[in-house]
Amino acid sequence: MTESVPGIWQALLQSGEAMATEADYEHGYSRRLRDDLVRMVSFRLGSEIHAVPIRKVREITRCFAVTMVPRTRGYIRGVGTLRGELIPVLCLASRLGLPAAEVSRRSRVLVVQIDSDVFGLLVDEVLDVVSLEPESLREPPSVLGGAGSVSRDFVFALARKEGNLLIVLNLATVVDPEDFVAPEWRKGPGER
Amino acid sequence: MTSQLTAISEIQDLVEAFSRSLLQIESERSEGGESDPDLVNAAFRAVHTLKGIASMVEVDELVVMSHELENCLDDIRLGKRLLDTASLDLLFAAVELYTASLAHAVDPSRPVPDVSSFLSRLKETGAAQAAPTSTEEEVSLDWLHEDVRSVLTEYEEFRLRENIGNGKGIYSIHVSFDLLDVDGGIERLKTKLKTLGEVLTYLPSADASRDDRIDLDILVGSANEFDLLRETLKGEAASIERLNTGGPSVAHEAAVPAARARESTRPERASAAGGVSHQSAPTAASARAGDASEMTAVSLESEQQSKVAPSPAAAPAPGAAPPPQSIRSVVQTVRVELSRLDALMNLVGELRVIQGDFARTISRAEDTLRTVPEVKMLHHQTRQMARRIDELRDRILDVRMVPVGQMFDTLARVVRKLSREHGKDVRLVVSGEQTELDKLIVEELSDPLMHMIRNAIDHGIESVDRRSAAGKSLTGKITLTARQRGNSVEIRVEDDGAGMDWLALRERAVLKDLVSQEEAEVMTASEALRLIFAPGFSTLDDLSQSSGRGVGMDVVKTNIMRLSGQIDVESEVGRGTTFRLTLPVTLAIIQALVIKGGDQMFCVPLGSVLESLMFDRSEIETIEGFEVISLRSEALPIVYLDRIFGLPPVSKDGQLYVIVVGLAEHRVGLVVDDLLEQKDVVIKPLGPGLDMVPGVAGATEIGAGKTVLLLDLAAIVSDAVRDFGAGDRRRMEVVRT
Repeated sequence: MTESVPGIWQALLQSGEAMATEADYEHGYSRRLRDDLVRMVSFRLGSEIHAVPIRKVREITRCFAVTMVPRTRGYIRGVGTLRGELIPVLCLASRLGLPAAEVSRRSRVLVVQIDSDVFGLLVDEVLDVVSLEPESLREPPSVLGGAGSVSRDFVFALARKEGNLLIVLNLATVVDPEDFVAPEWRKGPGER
Repeated sequence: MTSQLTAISEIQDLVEAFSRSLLQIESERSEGGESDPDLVNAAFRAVHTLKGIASMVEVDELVVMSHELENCLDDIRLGKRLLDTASLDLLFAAVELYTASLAHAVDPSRPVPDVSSFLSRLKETGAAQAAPTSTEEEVSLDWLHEDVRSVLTEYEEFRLRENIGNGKGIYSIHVSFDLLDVDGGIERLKTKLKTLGEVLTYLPSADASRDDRIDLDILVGSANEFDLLRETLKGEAASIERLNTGGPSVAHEAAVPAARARESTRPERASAAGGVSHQSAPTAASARAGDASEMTAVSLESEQQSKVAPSPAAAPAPGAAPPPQSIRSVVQTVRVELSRLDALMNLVGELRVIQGDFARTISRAEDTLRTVPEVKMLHHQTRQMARRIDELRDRILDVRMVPVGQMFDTLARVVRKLSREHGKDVRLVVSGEQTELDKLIVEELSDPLMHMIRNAIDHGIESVDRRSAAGKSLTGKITLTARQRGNSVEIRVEDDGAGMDWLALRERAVLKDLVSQEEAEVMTASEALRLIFAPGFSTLDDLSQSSGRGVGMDVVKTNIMRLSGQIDVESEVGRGTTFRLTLPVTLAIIQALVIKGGDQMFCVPLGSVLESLMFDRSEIETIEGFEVISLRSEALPIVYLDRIFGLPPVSKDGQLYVIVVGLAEHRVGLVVDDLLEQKDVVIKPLGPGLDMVPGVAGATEIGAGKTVLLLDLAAIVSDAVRDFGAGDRRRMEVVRT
């Protein structure tokens, strides 16, 4: 019976959902299909779909007012206060080399936490929370120098989700505090 | 781990108390006065308590060292060892060693202090001294009744002999206290007696005829006349007698029963407890007697200054521990990490912002709902809330405040050490130790102050020969003064040394190529003095160990600027040099000037602003490519905030606002679009990455979610000054208008 509908199984495996089997009917629905799925927040930057691991995302908020910080790289939108906490906000699109985002009704800030530091990432639209099985993540192609228009350094992996290409970002390289200050204003070690 | 850290900071306090006692002992010695035995006691107690804490957290080297020190101090207070300069040196060395040991305990990568060589030195010095008391003739105590003598501790007996040996009269004071007021009574009496002489011992009187009173006999050694003592004790329920110490075997009737009582306190208590009919009264009385003196012992402990009061119920063996409560009494404070207070401060700041938003909403509502009485009430209530929040903020600020005295003590040790190393005789006079500053500022301040003091001893105070040749007093004086002035604290470091010759400074600056000849010629005295803050300026060529490496005062200046403070110098040849530091009371909240530049709001620490002015664009002149305006007939170079930060320039019709900032010998005007308001703001760090932006020191929230950056004026101005320097070293000539 299972062999007759392989497509459904594939789809379910991909989505991480379970379908009742004969064993389930006998023993009850206690069995979980997979427990090693990676859950990701997917979002849109221009026409591309990107994702970051959900455990790095502390919250998703509407855009809040930020203050421009001089002498920083262009992708630093500035610093804003979210419930009393100062948070640097990055325009993720410009960081990845895409055209800078324009704030719209659908724009959101992903508040991500890397170690103990908190940063805000401006995205065009938050789409979904998806579960991906680890083996479905593919290395980004090395020849093209990246995925879509994004530099390879920033890409952790590629995945397909419902026919769409999903670019899983490497937050450690995308959010690099060493790179916030504009190069001409960086000081050598020990100078400050 | 935390408990060990707590223990270590307690030990640190004790080391400081120890060091304070030593400094007091030394200053009394140098003034030639009779040294107060209480000071040695205080030092002894500090070391003893320290030993206890150290053994609890198992820091062995501290335990061993404290044990030996304790013995040494005990010998000193018992007169078995002389408190001479060599011993004092050793004791001061112990302070250093303690500090090093603590540093090692906190951070094991720090060098292991050499305790063993210190201990052997301690032993050697001890052995080198022939027991001084044995060489002198023992003062006879035969006149004292055997019963009394037998209950005196070794220390009490020693003090008694000392007092007689010094020709003091010994008085016996019989006092009676109401049971309910015995603690207060003893305390009052002690304070009075302290002015007259030394309290040698307290003996509870056996004459416990009444249930509601406690009688005590107090032995006092005093050089004062009998009448004066009697006069002082007027109003107390006390009788006083002078004991005849000359004649043999004068068994004084008052002292005898007292001693008996002292011995019999325990049995009496036991038998009273055994009785049935009279049970309550005597038990209460004698129990109270015991309690009372124990309590006194505790309160004495906490004063850290007074003598160990023997507990009559269990008189301590000579040199033995003060009661174990002493540990508890030292730990009466709660230690809080600064970060926790910062968190509280942030919360209060946010609360204030929310309150502000709230108040704005209500005042908008008032526009439309003027007739609704509740709106008016709300308005009133938010005002009250604001006041409470401000009060809360002030209270939290209070907690961060520590007196500068602790830092002054450390500096006093530095003065002592350095003046000996340099063979100069220098006295440090401090005042305003109670002045309080934010803990963080105090921490950051100690290095700059240390440097200034080193400079004063190295270069300021002359050698003894020179001083005598100049007709000055041979002992050099460094005065350290702190005082609060509104929202800031002024600290002055003054020496009465050789002073600085501004003409020589000027010449030297030319030699060092810091200024041109032409620049130098138009320099005023105060400008020339400010040259010492310029990088690469050093006043002496021979580099001594502690200062004068040419990286001195510019670093001091920068550090003070970092704290939003200012430093100024005055000096007169032959009279000395004065540095004046002005610091904000706290950094958690700073007074800021909110400005506008390049269409963006910024704030600057008000403490770093010398003045702010309004100028007309037409007053700008250009000298050698640099824009300047004339301020009190001096050329003030100006820089534009919008240009510095690459912000869009705002068209200005003619009026400019200028913030005057001082850095080293330079004054620079920072041109901004507008001056908006003065405001107390809570400053937060910008976090990783953005904290590396030069020129920005932090940010604060003003009003509804509006984040405003705080400018780092020191960085901005020093960049600007560097630019001037890169273009042309020559100084802009004075513009006459």
